[in-house]
Parts: sequence; C-alpha cells; structure tokens
Amino acid sequence: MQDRTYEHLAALVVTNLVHQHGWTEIKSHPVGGEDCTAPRRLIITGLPQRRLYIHPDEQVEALEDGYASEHQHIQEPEFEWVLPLHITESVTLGTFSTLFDSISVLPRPVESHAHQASHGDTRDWRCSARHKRCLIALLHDDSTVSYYLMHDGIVKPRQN
Amino acid sequence: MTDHEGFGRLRISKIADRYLVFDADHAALLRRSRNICGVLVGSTPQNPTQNVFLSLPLELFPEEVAELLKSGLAALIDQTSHHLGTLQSRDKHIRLKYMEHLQQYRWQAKRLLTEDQAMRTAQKSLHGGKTSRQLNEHNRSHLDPSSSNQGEHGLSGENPQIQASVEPPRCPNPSGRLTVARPLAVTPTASSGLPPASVDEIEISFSRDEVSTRPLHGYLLSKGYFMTPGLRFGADYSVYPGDPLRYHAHFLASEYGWDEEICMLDIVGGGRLGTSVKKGFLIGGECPTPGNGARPMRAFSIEWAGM
Repeated sequence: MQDRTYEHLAALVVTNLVHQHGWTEIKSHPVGGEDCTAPRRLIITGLPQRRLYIHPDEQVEALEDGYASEHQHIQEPEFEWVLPLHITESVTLGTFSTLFDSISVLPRPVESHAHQASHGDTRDWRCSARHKRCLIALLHDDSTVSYYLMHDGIVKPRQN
Repeated sequence: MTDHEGFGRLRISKIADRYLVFDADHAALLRRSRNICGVLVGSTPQNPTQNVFLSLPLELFPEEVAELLKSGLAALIDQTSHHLGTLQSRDKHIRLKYMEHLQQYRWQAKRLLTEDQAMRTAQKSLHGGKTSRQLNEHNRSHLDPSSSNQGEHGLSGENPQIQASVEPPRCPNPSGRLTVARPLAVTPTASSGLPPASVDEIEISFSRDEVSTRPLHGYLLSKGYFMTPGLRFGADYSVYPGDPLRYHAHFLASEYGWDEEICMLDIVGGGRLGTSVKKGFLIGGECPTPGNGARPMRAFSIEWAGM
C-alpha cells in the first residue's frame, strides 16, 4: 500500500468519528520508526463524548463507593488512540506489537481530573499506570466503520 | 510440589495418537494443582451415544502433555507398542500367565451370562404365575448329572434356567470342560492380562514438533488460567480464571504465529461473539526475536467498543 492510502483511510475514519460519534480534538500522528521500510501508518487521537472504557474493577469500586457507573465523574471522557484499518488488510501480531510499543499509555497528558488522583487509596484508573489500549477502527467498502477495543496484554473483560 | 509424591510420576498413555490418563487420582491431581482439566472421554458401553456424563480416561491436549513432561511430573507411555510387544513375547512365563488369564476370563463371562439368564427367567416365571414350589422342583430335576448336558445346549435360550443350575468351575478343569460346559469365547479388548511394565521401562519421548507452535497455552497456564477446548466459540481455547466448575470463562483465545496474517473478520467475529457472551477475545503468540527488554510472549485482548 502507498502512503496516500493510509491518509485516505484515516480521513474516512476521522469523518466517521466526528460526525457519527461526536468526537473532538482529533489529531493524526504517523507511527512506526523512520528506518522502517514499510509505509508509515497513521494513528488518530481524539476525545469521545463520553468515556469509552471502564475497567470492570473500577466499576466495582465505584459501586462500592456508592456511585452508579453513569455518575458524571466516572463518565468524564478520556483521550483515546485509534488505529484505522481496512477490512481487506491482513495484519500480524508483529503489527500490533510494534504499534503498542510505539505509543504511550495516555495519548495526551491528563489535565482536568487531577483531583481524582488524590482520591483516597483507590487505584487511579486514568493515570499512565493503567493498561495500554487502542481502538481498532475497521473500515468496510460501504463506509461502515466498526470499533473494537484492543488492550495490550491480558485484561479481563467487562461484564456488560 | 509435595502433593504428587505419593503417586510417583503420573502416567500418560499414548494410544492412537491421543494422550490419556486412566487413574482418577492422577486426574484429580492435575486439576487441583496443575490447572489442567483435560477432557473426560470415557463413555458407557451400555449407552455409547450419550455424551453428557463421561468418565475416565481423561484426554489431554498435546500442549498439556508437553508442559507436564517438561516439569518432570509425568511420563509418557506408548501403550500400543507395549501391548503388541508383550503379546509377541517368547517368555514362557508371560505366555502361560496370559493363557490362564484368558481362560478365567472366559469362565467368568459364562458364569455371568448364566446368572443373568437365570435371574431373568426366575422373574419371568414369577410374573407368569408359577409358584415357588414348581420352581424348586424344576431346579432340582436339573441338578442330576443326566440333565447337565442339556444345560450346554440350552445356551441358545430354550430353557435358560437349566444353565443356572450348572455352576461352571471357576478354574478350567480339563475333564469337566468336556462333559459339563464350555466357557464362552471372548475377544479381549484390554491389556489387563498382560504384566504391566514399569513406567521407566517403556517411557517414550515426546516429539516437540507436536506442540512447538503453541506457546500461548503454556503462557496462559503459567499465569494460573485453566483452559478447555474453545470449539464452541470458534477459538483455540476457552480461558478460565479458575476452575471451570466455579468460574465463567474470561476469554476465547486463539494462537497466531508471529508473522501469520490475522484476518480482519476473525477480529470482528471473535470480538463480537466474545462480547456478547461476556468474554474477551484474546490473541497471542511468541515473538521469535525479542529485543532488549521485550517480552517473548505478546497477547492482546479485544472487546467490542460499543460504538
């Protein structure tokens, strides 16, 4: 694939994120080292309208503290990584591995919820000590985009 | 591991390219202290089509066998070659013993059959309104030697009660065999009459090729997970955080080679199915060239994002 292909792919996903899901503050970043012979992919960061992922343990903690998971400070959104992929692409474990090695845990530094970090002795679920995660955006030819959350490592599933 | 010292090494029998454990204590030990459940594959001869209540033997994955052999906990035995080798043995002692065992087996089969038939006839005649006095008379009349030959021919079922009265000898008796009755012909389906070989004597080595491409299993096992076959979710394994009788599975796991292409539809399918059954879809594999500080095993958990 040529470099432009990844750009078009990213543009389509960005359009979908902005207009269908109401994401804001979207930026694209190239990933992969410059010594790499393969063309560089684009990865997107952005801010969803509401929080995308709540770890099952955090949900349990919140319930124990007496908050429903719909509570406002739990639902406050976090920046997410998004990797655009086309349905006909085939990736390998190596692809994902390189991707996760090249990104940091937090797409952008935490600003607004510094007050939560000092919240008692409970674990801070938004700090850089949490699991690395990335949203996989799968684009189909009919411009459907479906999103999957991928965690680096073994992370237990949510009990929806 | 002090748990297994009472057992010696666990015995895994390789039969028809399947790895089986026949000892209930061994199966319990594997489950309790090694996180290995295996699959019970023993069916009941009377009802071979039911597949809900299965019993020993326990079939193990090749991955599990590799893990057990690596830890030195188990020994792998090739039962087929042992069976054939012993049957063809020229050792007179072994041959005689086996013949004797066969004879006993035949007489036992005969005895069980006659007992069974006698019981059935007794029940039938009770329901048919025969008095117990008539029955007794019947029995007594067949106890005299003149009618004992009749007993042999009655095997085809004309009057099975007769056989009940002829108690076959437990041991073969050359003269008795000719005049009284003949043991049933049997086709042994087990190696039970053959002298068991010691574990060290017939241990075979395990070819690593059978599992060399499956390091994800060992990785998950080392993290304390239990695994059962993942066929019902279209993956390699169902991964449980504890004993499957107690916990729900957390993941459907599929192993991929490092450079094996992962079809996008597999991610969609696994992710969507996993999420709908409250599980995650786990893909993982071994990095052939871990760089400095890099982990050799990588795993990624996938869930539907809900958007």
